[in-house]
Amino acid sequence: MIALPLAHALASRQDLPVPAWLFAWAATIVLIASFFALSAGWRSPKFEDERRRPLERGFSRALLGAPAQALCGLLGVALLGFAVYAALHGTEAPDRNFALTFVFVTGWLGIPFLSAILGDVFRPFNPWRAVGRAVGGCFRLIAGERPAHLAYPEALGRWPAAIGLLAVVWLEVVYGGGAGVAVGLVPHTVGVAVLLYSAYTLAMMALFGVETWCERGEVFSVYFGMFGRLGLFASEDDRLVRRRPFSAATKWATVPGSAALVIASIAGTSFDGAKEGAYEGAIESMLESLHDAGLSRLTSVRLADTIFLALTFAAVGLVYWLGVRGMRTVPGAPSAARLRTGFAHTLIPIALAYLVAHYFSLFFFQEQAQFTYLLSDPLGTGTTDLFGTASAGVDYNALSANAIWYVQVASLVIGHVLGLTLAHDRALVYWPDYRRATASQYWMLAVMVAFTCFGLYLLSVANG
Amino acid sequence: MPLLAHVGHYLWVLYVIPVLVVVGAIVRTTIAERRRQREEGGGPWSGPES
Repeated sequence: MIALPLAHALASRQDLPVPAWLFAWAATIVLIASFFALSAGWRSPKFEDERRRPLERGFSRALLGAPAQALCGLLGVALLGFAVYAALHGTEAPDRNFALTFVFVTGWLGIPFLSAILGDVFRPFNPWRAVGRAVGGCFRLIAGERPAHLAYPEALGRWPAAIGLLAVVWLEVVYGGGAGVAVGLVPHTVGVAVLLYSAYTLAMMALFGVETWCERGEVFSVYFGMFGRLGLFASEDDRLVRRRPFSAATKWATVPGSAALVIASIAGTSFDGAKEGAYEGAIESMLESLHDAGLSRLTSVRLADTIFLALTFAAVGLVYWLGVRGMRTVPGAPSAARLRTGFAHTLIPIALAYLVAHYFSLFFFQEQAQFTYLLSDPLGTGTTDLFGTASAGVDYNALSANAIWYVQVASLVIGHVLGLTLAHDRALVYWPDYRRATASQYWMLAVMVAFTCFGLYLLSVANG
Repeated sequence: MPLLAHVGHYLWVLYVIPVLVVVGAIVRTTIAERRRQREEGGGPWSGPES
């Protein structure tokens, strides 16, 4: 994450009643108890049927009608344009420039949190989708026909989004972290990156179509949409529907590259958490070796970080793959490829739990800045005070270090119990005999325990 | 306490223990289940096919 003044806003914990590692043991016990409870009381799939219930037609029309869509799209474009302007013309101090907090905290963290509750809230505000649709509409008006697009290669699936997600993480954590300045990414870099990404996205939309690219390759749409599958609401045939929470996730991973995307999300968060904690010594040692081999200090830092980010991605993938291989040993199991795809959605709550655990405090504190001095003085030049809050500060006492720790532990435990529940539910589809389904889930229990303990270890080292 | 000076570096062991316990229990249960099925002569993991 960007090195805003608060970074992860993690002060050292004080007076925990028991050592931090005991929380990992307790979390393991909770997971094991949940596993047995599911085995005993959950004997038929419940999430496969979304059970959609349409909302009032008038309400749907108001929220999904053309005027509302145009307004949301316009707002998205305006906010993106404003963020780019602030990044390019505002102060280079990241903590005083609206753009960095808006892009990397309010957007990058806030939208997943909101999506996981409400559904895919980014879609109507997606500025690139809005521009693409407007351009497509103009083309239809002038040419009298729909623009022709190339057929999207189905085998590519969500791979462009997964690679793009790693690229975004690399930019903010590796490139920004190794920039040789104490503050990490500078706003100008973010502005240029957003402009380049916009050009790339609009070109891909022109090639493959707006909606196709948003569903497959547009990093933010696909990433936020993944969390949106956990949420309560969706649009269907121009009608807003309420669905059973988490149920839409069961059909999310049918597209190739979906598992890679969710693994990239977990790996990115893990790496960011471990970079200055659990990995610190190992990264330091590697960068010294690279530096001794003749590389510049900056290149060594970035290369070492890149290698560790790739290793984290591989390690998270390996843990999931081991879980899949374990399930494959249970008689009646489908192919490993089907298992790999079929259980990928069970990692979505874990990705969300990792996000909450690692960035909750940053989000909580930095949003105070977002809605006070950054809103009043977005360029950070000290010359404007739009809402009279330019001199406001962040209240660091609003949340104690122990409260943050408890939120982190709770989010990790709840996320993994939810992951276990989704996995158990899916197992009942593949193994209608609940005993075999339970046997297959021994392995997913091991995966969940591993991710929980790893997550808590990262946090304990970062917080300690 | 010189002996405990670097104990912090090995704190990760305490986080690995629950994982090892769970994996060990799973492997043990799986082996025992297979052995039991073999002894009963019903083939591995006999039961209704999915």
